[in-house]
Amino acid sequence: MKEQHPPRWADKLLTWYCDPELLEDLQGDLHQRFYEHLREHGMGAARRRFILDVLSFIRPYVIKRRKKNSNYPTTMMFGHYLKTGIRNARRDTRYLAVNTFGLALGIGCSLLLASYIYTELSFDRGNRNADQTYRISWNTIMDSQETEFAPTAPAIGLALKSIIPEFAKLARVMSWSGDGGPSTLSYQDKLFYVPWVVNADSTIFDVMDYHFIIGDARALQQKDRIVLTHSLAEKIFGPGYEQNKKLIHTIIKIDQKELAVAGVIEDIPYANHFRPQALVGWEGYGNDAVWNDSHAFTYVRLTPGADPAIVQQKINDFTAKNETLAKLREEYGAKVKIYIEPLTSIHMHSHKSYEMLPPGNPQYLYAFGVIAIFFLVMSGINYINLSIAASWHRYKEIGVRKVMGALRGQVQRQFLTEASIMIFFAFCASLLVLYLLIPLFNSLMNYQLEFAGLMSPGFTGVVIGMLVVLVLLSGYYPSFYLSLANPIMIFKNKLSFGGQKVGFRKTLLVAQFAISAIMIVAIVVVTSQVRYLSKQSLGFNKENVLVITVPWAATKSVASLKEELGRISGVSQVASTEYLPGVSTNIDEHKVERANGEMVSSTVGRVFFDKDYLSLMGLQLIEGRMFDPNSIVDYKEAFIVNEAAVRAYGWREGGGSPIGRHIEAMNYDKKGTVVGVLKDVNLYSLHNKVQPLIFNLAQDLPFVYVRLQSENLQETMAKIETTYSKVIQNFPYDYQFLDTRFDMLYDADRKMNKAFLAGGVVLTFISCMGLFALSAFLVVQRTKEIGVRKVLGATVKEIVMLLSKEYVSLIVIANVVAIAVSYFLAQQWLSGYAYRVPISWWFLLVPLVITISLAFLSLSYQVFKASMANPVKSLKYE
Amino acid sequence: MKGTNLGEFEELVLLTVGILHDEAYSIAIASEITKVTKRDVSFAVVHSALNRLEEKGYVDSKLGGATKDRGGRSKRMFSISAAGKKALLRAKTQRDELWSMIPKVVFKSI
Repeated sequence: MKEQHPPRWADKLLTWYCDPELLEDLQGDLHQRFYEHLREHGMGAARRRFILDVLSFIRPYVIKRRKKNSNYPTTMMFGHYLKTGIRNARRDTRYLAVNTFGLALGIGCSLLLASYIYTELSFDRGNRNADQTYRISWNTIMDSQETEFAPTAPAIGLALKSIIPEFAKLARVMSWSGDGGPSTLSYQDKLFYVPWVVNADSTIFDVMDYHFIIGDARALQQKDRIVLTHSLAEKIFGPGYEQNKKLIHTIIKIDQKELAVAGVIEDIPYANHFRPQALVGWEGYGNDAVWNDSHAFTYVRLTPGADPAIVQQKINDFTAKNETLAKLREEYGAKVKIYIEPLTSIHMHSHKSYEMLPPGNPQYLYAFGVIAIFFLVMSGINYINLSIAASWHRYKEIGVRKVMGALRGQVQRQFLTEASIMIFFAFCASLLVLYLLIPLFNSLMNYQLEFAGLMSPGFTGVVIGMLVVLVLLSGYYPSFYLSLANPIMIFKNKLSFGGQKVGFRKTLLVAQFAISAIMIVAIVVVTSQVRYLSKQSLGFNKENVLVITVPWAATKSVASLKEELGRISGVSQVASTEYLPGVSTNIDEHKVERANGEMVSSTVGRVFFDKDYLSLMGLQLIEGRMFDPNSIVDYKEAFIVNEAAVRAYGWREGGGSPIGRHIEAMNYDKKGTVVGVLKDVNLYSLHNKVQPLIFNLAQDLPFVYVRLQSENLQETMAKIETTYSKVIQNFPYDYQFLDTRFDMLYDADRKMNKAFLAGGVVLTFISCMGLFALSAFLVVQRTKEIGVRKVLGATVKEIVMLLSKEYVSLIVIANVVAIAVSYFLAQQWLSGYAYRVPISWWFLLVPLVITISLAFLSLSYQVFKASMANPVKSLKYE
Repeated sequence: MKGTNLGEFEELVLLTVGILHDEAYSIAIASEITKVTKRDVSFAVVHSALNRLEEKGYVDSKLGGATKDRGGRSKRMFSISAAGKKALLRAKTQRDELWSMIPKVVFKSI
């Protein structure tokens, strides 16, 4: 039979709240009643009754009373605490400075990261109707390969708007230049490039939350109108342009097209997933009926209360039934999925082809979140260790207070008051740290954090929460610990600084060093991965190649530009292409022959280049022939592919040959056969394996690659610029180097690396400070012991060993923990790369060596001071 | 003196303590009251009344008489103190006096 007893929790509750004087007989009574009920009414009833009884005794006279100290003048004592606190702070300004600085640094850094995370999460939430606003995008499915496109075809939005009543407002946006590249802007004698000029439906101002400085939301309703952002308007018309009455209807030229200014809007805040600098009306482009090309970013605002799931259902019905889409399916073999995604989730969660700006990276958020917590924990631990160490000379004060009748709670309150004040000051200092760090962070991470933007109520709430947690956790422990001291022991000078308590602090120290070691491994792994990527042989020579961007409008002059450039003495080769690393991969629909001869629709990357490109890049042909620039047929009918394509389409299966296979482009007018196969090269990022590529011969393409001889670089470059301005007059000169362009592909990794490096250095610094303080504290405790040892003949070396060996073992423990954790993390992170650096044993040895040597450095000052000291002095020490 | 009044329920409890004599502890008192008055008194209320009576000095208590049911815990045995006796008597005399002052005719007419 089950043992019969009253519910244990209720019994415990009674013991907890009941006054000990009443407990004995009351608990007896209740138990007796329980067993009586048990006999009469059974288990269930008895248990219920017992619980009711226990609850019914929660009455004032039964509840345990705390010791009475109500007549203690807390508020009066506050001033006294403040005074003693200030006096003590003055006595030891060095500790105070170190401690406040450490804490401020830690809080400042974690505030910085918190504000980054906050900004990332607030993307597009500035839009008043953010919750009702969605983007319509589509995926194409060809041959089971699904490709996500951020923009959709221009006709899709219009067709949906006409059948779905929940679509309150719809607006489409497309890049003016076609590829998101910059456009030229000219006004009077001014001529410069403007990134992100877009065409937009006039309804864009109903969907997006743009604020007009001049003009109103009807601005784009007429043809050939342009709306500028404030900073662009300032750049064109100079500051104070607002006073100009004739500003509206002033004609400016974008890529040589005349447009009338119709309004000026405030600059679009950084936290938006696209930030156009100028908007031109959409009307008049004649592309409203285009169903098969993805270039319209389509946004829709739903009617209030509309259910997105129902809207999605209606869209699915549309996709299934629409005749034009059915025709596309037949013609292209491409199925599409159309769907809406919330505006606010685009930045973080949408990583599609042709996104307007690089999307956010959730990996960063996690990494930074963890580092932010590291900072708080580290500086909290540090504060605990330092403040206990700094107050060892206050034991006499505590002793006197206690003898004079102070209760433990009062001593605790005193130290808690001091801690809160200090943490508050450190917090104020940390705001200064934050203020100074923000510009640094922005330039390091190429980001736009704003100090003023952080004053929002949400963020302030987060900050206050952080502060309270910090005060409670790191202020409470020292005050609790100090208040425990026994006055008799204090005055007998027998105060042993309790082994167990020091044990707890050692655990904290291990945690600190483990965190540092994890950061060091992270730095080592990220650094070597980034280096590995940039050292990887790409299969071509990217050094000394200058890339000139010729605007589409001027590509007619490319041939003559190439010819002129080729004459410059320092230039060895010139070629043009339409591909530049880092510009969104150009993927396109093709019908490609498979092993069995069937033509299957597929989405494949494609590159256009002219006759000189292959030799300039040093790309090697492994089969077939190169394009013949003199043959018009090659322009119209010949394809070259890479090895990856040969593999992907199984062209060598059964002894077949890739040469002569058929390819048909669906979006550019070309149909023909493969004439050659190129060796695989990494034209794209090394995050991914080499993808199948189709190469086409063309001419007059916008990126002119110039291979330079390494001598007289400056002179050659100057000549190139003069030549450019001579050939292409209306467009400013814009150039970059191919290798820097390739490096930009790893921009994200590089930023991660920098962030880790900075974070790791600060964290390690903080933990060394902690160690320094703790060692000072413990060495003072052992002054006498050291003296005795020296008198008895111990050498300095032995004493140094004695004092440092326990720290070394602590740090080794910390490293073992850290290595296990970071090995796992490194594996996780590297799995996101197709080409990854192998993790070698020394990666894990580095943190061990670094932490031990740093620890030794921070220990050495105190330890050597103690072991060198004259034993006569230390034995006199009392 | 303030707070030394004997309330109706307190009087009842105090009398029951007297009735039970050597066996007067909270559970017994509560069940005796229930038995005699047929009132459904809660145990907690009886306990708090006993506590008040002790504060006022009308009952004395000592610990004793542990049983297995109680898990070896003692009972608090109550007995009427001298002050308690005085208070009971005063209450009784006051009541008797009031009884004697009611004209007979009052009861007759009801």
